[in-house]
Amino acid sequence: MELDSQPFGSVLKEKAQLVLGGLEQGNVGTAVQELLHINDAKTNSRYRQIGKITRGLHNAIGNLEFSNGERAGPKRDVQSRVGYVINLTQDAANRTMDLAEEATPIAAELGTASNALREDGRKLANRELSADEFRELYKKMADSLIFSEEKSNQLHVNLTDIVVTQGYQDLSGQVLLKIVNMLNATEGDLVNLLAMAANLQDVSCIAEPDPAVESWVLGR
Amino acid sequence: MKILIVDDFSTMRRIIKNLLRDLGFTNTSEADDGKTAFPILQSGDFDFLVTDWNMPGMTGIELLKAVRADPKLSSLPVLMVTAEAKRDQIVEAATAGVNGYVVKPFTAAALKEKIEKIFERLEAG
Repeated sequence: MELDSQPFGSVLKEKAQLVLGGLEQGNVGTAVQELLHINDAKTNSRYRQIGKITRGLHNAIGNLEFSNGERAGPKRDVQSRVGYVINLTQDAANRTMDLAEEATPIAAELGTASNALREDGRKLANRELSADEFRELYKKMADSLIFSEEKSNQLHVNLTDIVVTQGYQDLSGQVLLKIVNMLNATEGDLVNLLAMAANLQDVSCIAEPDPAVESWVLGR
Repeated sequence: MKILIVDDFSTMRRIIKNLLRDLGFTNTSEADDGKTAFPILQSGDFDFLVTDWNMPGMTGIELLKAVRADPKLSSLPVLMVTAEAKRDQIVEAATAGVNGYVVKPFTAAALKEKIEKIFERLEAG
């Protein structure tokens, strides 16, 4: 008979028969011997359960932060990751706004340049241009178009960069998923711990001992 | 030029699609995991694969290895775009036959440069 691996309930059932048997045969020595075996089994079972709980507690606590900050567990991990997400999204928001703010005057400049050119065109149509102004017109047009092309390219760059900056959503999303997984793991550990603690109460009478069982075992 | 973009985050797929369009590549398809991407590659005639690393079903590195192992797909150019910047992962990707590797967050210029470099090398043979 292996006390270490048999569940206490079945040991109790087996030995209780032997105790009764011994008493019925008037063999008190046997009865007491088997009672001692029951007690040993109870103690071993209790130790095993305590061992399990200690390990479970160690795992769960290992995942929390020690007050001296000795071990960085999920709580510290969660804090630093949340901090990372806040900074990342803030930087992305600011960069997006910077790019948009840069682009706004450029768009205005393009409008102004087109407007000036249109005004020149109107003067040309109404023959309001002087000879010098007329000669200058071609150069003005060419300069204006080069200007528009450069500014349009700049707008294009800014708009593309705004799109690229939205990549923060992917990076922050990945970090948030990691946080959720860590929290689920810690919750799982604690739920297991609760289950083990409940089991220990059943098996080892660390909680309320059942007076009926107690008096029967002690022979009162 | 038919390109498949694989990433489990739709925003990232959209950004890459946008940048590819800027470079003149308008024929793009998308997949949200290596698992869904592989059969798409097997059934279509894709000329280029852009993939993330971390994906829940089949990771980018597993997809890359599957592509290289498939006789129909083994020479498909592959660009990896990923947040993983650790040296051994870059080495693992290179060993598995990746053509280019871009670390997130990237700039538009960086992505464009990597893509152009891949095609330059392919044309050079």
